Amino acid sequence: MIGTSFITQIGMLILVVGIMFFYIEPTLTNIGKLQDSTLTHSEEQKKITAVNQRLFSLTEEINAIPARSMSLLGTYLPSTFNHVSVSRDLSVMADLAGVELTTVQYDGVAEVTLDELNVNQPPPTEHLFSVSVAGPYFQIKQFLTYLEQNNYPLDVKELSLTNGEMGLQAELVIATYSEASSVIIEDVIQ
Amino acid sequence: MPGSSNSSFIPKRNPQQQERRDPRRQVFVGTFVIRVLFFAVLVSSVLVFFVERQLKSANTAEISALDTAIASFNEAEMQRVINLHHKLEQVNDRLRYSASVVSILTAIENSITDSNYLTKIALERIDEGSFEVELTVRAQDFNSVLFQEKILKENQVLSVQEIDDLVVEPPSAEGQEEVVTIDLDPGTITFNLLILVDPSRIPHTLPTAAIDTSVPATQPVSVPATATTSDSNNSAL
Repeated sequence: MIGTSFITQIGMLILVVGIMFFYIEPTLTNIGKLQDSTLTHSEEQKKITAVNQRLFSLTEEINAIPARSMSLLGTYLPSTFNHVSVSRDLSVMADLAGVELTTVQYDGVAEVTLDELNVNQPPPTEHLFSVSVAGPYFQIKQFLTYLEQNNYPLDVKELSLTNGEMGLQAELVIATYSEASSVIIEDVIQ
Repeated sequence: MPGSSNSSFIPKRNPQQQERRDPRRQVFVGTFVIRVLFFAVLVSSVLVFFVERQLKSANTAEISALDTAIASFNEAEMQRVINLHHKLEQVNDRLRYSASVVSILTAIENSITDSNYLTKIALERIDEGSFEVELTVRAQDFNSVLFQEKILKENQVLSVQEIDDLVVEPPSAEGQEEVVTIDLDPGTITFNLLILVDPSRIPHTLPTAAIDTSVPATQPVSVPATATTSDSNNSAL
């Protein structure tokens, strides 16, 4: 039986106050934090699960792309560049069109200014060629048609058609592209 | 006196009993409150303890689920998706900026009048935008020049900006530049036409068949007959 003396009552009162302030109140605060933490973790877990599902569906879409399409994409914008292959292709087109390829020269990479450069999404690397062909007008035009119909871009940046010693002479600056090069980006930034 | 208390009909209270009664009522209320508080605190402590324990285990489970979700994220696949996305954007840009130079030449062919002759075509694309075309034309008289300007202004593809470097060349038997071996009438006017071409008006044409440059052609290519000197299209070079 709990005593009813004054000292006992005071002691009990002190105990009650002590338990309330030194255990119950901090524990309730901790419970609040735990609830917030649980809610936050739950929300983040849902977000990450949604991201994982989206990533999975995108990966499935990519895997469903036919190999031929991926190959054509790689041909259109290759990751590596070989100027000899392009020169050979230009020579074949000139032969097909019936014009004489007098000059084909690789002029290197076009300059990229810092304003044009977006480091997060750099533009493709532009490779320039100087080409000269000679022949009749309609065959030169056919050569230009072949350039436009190629599996990868061969954009005519400059064209000059004049009469020369060998007949009609066309001087072209042609651009083709490959995926952005990190070396070039670093050079521009420096 | 012993008889004095028994003579009054009003019973006298015992002072000791009176003193004992009052303190007992005050202590009972305080004691009751304190005891209620004490037991309430004990019960609350137990409840709070179990609630905290349960929430801790729930929080641990959520953290574990979050760690599992993070661990299941495949960074390599993410990079693969991002790379392909960037590549497709770049290809899309290339396709958007592509334009047909052959269409410009065709438009020029269709615009140059029979009485005029092209001696030079110079074409340059400005920053993946418009094409700047400079034509050097030889006309026989000023009426031809004016007529040529009128025809070009009606053209949907070519936008004439200016006519300059108008030069009247006196008739000369020798040393005059010939254009595709056509004998020109004496006295000619040479002028430059500066034309702008909007690339949206010269879209890329779809190929009828892919050009395979890796395999040599096994069949001869059908090439249109080249222009002859006597019956050539006078507008062609």
